[in-house]
Amino acid sequence: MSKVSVVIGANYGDEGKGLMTDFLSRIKNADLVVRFNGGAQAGHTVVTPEGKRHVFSHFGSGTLAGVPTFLSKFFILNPIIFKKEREKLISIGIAPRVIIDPRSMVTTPWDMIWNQFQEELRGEGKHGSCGVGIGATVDRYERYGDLALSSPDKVWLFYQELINAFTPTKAQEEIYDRYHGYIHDIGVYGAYMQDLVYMKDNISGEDVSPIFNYAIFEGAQGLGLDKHMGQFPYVTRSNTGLRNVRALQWELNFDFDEVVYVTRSYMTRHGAGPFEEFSDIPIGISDDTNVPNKWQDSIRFGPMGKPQWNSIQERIDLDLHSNGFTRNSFNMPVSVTHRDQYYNDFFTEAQYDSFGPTWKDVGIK
Amino acid sequence: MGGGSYSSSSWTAYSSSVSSKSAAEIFTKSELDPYLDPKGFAVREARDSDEHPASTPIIVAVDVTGSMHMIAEVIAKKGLGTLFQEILDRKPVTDPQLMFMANGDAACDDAPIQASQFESDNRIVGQLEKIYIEHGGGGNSSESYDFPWYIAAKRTAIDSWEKRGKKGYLFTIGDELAPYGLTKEQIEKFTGDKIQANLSAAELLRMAEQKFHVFHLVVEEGNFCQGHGKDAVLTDWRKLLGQRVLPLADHTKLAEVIVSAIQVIEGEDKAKVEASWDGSTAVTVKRAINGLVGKVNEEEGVVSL
Repeated sequence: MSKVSVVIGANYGDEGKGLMTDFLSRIKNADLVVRFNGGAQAGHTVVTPEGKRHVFSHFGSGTLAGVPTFLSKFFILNPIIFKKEREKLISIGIAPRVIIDPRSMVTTPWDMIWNQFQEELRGEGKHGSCGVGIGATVDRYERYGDLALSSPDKVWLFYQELINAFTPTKAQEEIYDRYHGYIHDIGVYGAYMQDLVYMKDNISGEDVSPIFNYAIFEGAQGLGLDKHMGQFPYVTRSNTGLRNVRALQWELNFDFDEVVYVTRSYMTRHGAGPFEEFSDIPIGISDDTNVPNKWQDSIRFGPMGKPQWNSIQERIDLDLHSNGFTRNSFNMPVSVTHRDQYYNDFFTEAQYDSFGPTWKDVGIK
Repeated sequence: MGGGSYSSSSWTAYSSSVSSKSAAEIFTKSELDPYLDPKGFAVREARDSDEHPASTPIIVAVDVTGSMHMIAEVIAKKGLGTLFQEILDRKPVTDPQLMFMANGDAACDDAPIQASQFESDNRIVGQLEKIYIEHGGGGNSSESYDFPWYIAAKRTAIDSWEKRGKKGYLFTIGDELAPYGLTKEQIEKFTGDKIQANLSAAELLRMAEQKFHVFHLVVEEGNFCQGHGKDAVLTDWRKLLGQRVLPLADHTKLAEVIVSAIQVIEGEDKAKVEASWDGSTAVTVKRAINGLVGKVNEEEGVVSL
């Protein structure tokens, strides 16, 4: 029977899931990395001891370790980002191998544009979306099923009608006109067709269940953003915990080896939503991956105290129990990353500690 | 979360990144599907069965060369689907058995002829996806509209004709002039059949007409018709096919025109058929079937006016 390790973020993202996926890919001799939630909004950083660095969005974080990626049916494909990222990987000498599940949802540029339009209209009341169109894509599939699944030109037409029917207030007019232009731009359609074909040419769609012996399931985002656990509306539309993995177990047929919940040694939060920040950011804490963008404000840092640590334990228990597991169901190492940046002595339970950015900096207890 | 952000200011740049290729060109199948390759089958059969005791084969072949531009896509992927659905719903003939072909130019294309099986239900529609739109064609002023005639003549086995002496229907669709014929080398290259001599278009037509009512629809919106004048194209075709050349003024009315033509040949009153459509459809249908003569003697073959 094939075995899997699952990497799940315990907080709000940015925990170090990329690092742990790369690390586990190597020490477990994995032959597949599976993305099981979210989409290309992820930004999982992997740095190799040789100095290669890549932030993974559409590809599994086992890619630098030479492990192929399986984008499961819960992953939302994005041809635009796929192409950008693949070209970037090729430029650092990596030819990623990707298998997809043909049932996956696909984001179009108009989903992205629509999400950005909504976020820009919200102004100060932003929800913290990444601007890659996940929300609009899921919405489109949930509400419009057949329409969503039909051809790109139908999706395009759908958004043209949607924005035509929108009546902006006086204050919204400038924003509206700009986005009206983006949505009606035929060049966007043409460019998207190219990206779609590029993606089709660089993926395959075979059944993965017979071809892996050990897979790493790489979660995106974190339990604190889960639509069932987080604080609405500052949540993602995906299941960030074990739920999707459990669903995939029926199809792919595997045993759990380990489930690794990952946290930094301090708290971070990215985008909007309640968060207790440091009054003074301690020296040493830094983040090279998260640069502020228009859709998400810059990353915030906060202390890891008893209350935060207890919340993490509560979220982990909720994730386990709601999926029919207990802490004894499998080996459940907690992983604490970025320990070099912030000293804290809570983490006696942690089995994987990282004191630097590469897999060689991870210590096993 | 983090790295995968995308900012709105990039949309203008993204838009201009499109290459000169048309969206349609890059978004289609990029090679011949073996299922549609005549080298891969001996005959396509339209047989009677308990369920379909009086089968009538209907073949529709569409020109997928470059001069058709987007229309090739629209007809091949959508128009044929609508047409087949319409035929299955309206049943202008008994037990329709549907087949599609796609033709290019045997002189210069990689896949100038593609042919499906006969299907009696809307499974045929799902198979349209397999059509490879090569956008070929060349500097000559015709495409190989006679290749579907060859396939219909030599590569089909139809009970309607063999058992009951009733002909099937064969429609070709395109915008260029009437074809010139096929060389024996072309036939062997694309079908594997070894034949004795080259075949002229008239010979190929005669072969097809033994089993099928043969029609050609001239796509008046196609590039060639636009450039050379649709009357020149119609006149050229009429020399070969006479009244069975149907001008198609609006490609979105393909289904209505073909169904109407079949109804007329099956003996329906032409005025009544025209009157059964409304508005712009009626205009297009009237223009298309204006010269068509109704019920003909099966033995007689083509009526040239």
